[in-house]
Amino acid sequence: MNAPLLEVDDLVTHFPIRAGLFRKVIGQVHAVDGVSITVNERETVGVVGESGCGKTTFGRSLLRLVEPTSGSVKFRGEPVTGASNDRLRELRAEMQIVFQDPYASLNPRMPVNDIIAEPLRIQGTAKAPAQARVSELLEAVGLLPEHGNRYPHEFSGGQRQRIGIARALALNPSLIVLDEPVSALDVSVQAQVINLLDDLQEEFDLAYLFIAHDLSVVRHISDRVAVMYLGRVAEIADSNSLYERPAHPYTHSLLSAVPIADPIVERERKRIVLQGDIPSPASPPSGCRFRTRCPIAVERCANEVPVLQELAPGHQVACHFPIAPGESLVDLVGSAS
Amino acid sequence: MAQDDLLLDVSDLSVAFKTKKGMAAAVRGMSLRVARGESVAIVGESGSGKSVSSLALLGLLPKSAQITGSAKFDGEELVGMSQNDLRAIRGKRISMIFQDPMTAFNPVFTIGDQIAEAMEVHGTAEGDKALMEAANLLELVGVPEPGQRVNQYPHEFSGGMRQRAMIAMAIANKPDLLIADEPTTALDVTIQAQVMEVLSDIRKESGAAMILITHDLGVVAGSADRVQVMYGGRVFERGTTNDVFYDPLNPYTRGLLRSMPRVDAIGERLVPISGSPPSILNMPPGCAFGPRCDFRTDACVADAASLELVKPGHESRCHHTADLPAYEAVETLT
Repeated sequence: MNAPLLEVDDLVTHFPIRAGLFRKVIGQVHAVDGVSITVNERETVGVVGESGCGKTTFGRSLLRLVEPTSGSVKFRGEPVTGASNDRLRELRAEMQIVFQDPYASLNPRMPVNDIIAEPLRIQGTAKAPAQARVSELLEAVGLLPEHGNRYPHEFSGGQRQRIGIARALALNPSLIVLDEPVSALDVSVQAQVINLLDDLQEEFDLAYLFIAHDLSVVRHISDRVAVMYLGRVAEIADSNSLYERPAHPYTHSLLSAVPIADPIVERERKRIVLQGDIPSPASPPSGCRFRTRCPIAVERCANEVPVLQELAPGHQVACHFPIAPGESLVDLVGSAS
Repeated sequence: MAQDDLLLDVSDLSVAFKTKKGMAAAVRGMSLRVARGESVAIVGESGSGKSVSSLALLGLLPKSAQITGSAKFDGEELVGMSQNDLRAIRGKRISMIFQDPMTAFNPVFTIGDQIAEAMEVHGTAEGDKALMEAANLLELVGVPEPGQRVNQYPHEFSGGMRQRAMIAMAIANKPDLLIADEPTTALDVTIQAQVMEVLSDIRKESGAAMILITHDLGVVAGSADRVQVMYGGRVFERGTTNDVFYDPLNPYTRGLLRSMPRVDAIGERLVPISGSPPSILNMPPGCAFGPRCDFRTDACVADAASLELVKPGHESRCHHTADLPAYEAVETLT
């Protein structure tokens, strides 16, 4: 296999907690705590997790929109962490991001043409070719080029997300970080945007890092999926293995909690209902971070941090007691409902 | 359903708002019947009128809202009822669970005080007894250490715990009807599963009926006896949960079901509905779904179809009910 497009090694992003008159640092929020992931050319890697698991910070750290605390990010073998500002700007032409909220991520005072042309302007493209490119991009995302002089408020949520995608495409990137790109959209519109992302990937040879909390959407779009919990990767595998043969108790619980739009399946399912809430990332539990909610945790889990171990080619899990294929956590602990 | 089992009977309910850009018709001739102990889901996207209709029932809309039609709760007419009389029903016989538990609680009073107040207002319990009862309720909805939690403020509760506390407040006066408006939309999946379980246990115990307002068909599948699908302020389809999911009659319902990726299905290409939901300020003529519908004909533009009984207990609003192809569900792994 060729070298991966993006190589993230042991990435750590902490935020200081400050208090008092002199803003003294009194602690750290461990948002991302040692994440290693690779993304290959034209591949979609999904990152799922609940709120506070660090998935958004992870995505932003890759582009250094948030400065990582330690670890390395390499793009085509070149370090992004440690790159000079000028070099970083050039690298960002290759790595783009689409944000969750299509209302907040577009400047309301700028017509759509200018919004999409902004990355081109920053990278020094002349006005006329930039305008031609904008029309091309609007068409590529399924909008009418003549609507380019309208303002964001004149578009629906789904259309705005298309504008955000067009802006990300402007510089011909190889990688787009998609941070919850469809979760603000109505169900009937979500599918349009997902299909558009599929088409664009095909057309422009894109790789995606798809960050989302919706496991159904992630399964649909991803080749490989990483499950994050409190700043760490709990499990990573190709999409089918992860959903059909999950090994981490957290992955099991997540999958069993997702409601399925099928009344008979839904009523007859045995479900693991996790107790308690996600602990605060400012003071994560010792050992395995999931142990406070894990139904099969034992003493060892509190003392020893589980490292990612390979179960099958490409399938890694960070758990002392991974669940064997075919076994179900529900049967191991007895059903909760 | 037998007449004396009927708890809520809404017919021809319309809600319009006066805005600078003209009248906005949010709900247009909606009907809804809920039997005692039954769970009915109202499903729809933004602007479908699903939330506005229930707010209208409880008199919780601003004065600019013009409400017509009828809503009989246990035989009593709610539309046009004075605020005083409504107050006696709200929080007592009908209570509401809102989407955002952060804004639904008052930040400067303890959770216990707020639950106790709900009881004091309706004379269910007083003073210390009310506060003790509040702790019992918190325990009932699965809040750990209820004795201490009862004295804490909303910001000391996590999202899931706050939603439990709101459920505790809603059931404090043993209502006959719970209206849950997107009760789990703001929560993570694992927390959503906890909250839906609490709701279901509570209802089993108290026998309260529930109106579940949501956009999430997965949540509906697991917890509703009947479903009504709304679009553009109107009911488009209504039936038992099984009927609506396995034999959807309306092109909109079918589109919704097909456009959703399923966690137990492999990544086939999704079949989206084209366009986006209409703005309530600018409803298309005739059928509101017309501009997005594959089966649209001139008849659909000329006038909106009426909601008709197609099979026992299963209604749909479409001119083309008779000539639609058979529904093919998305293939799944199981």
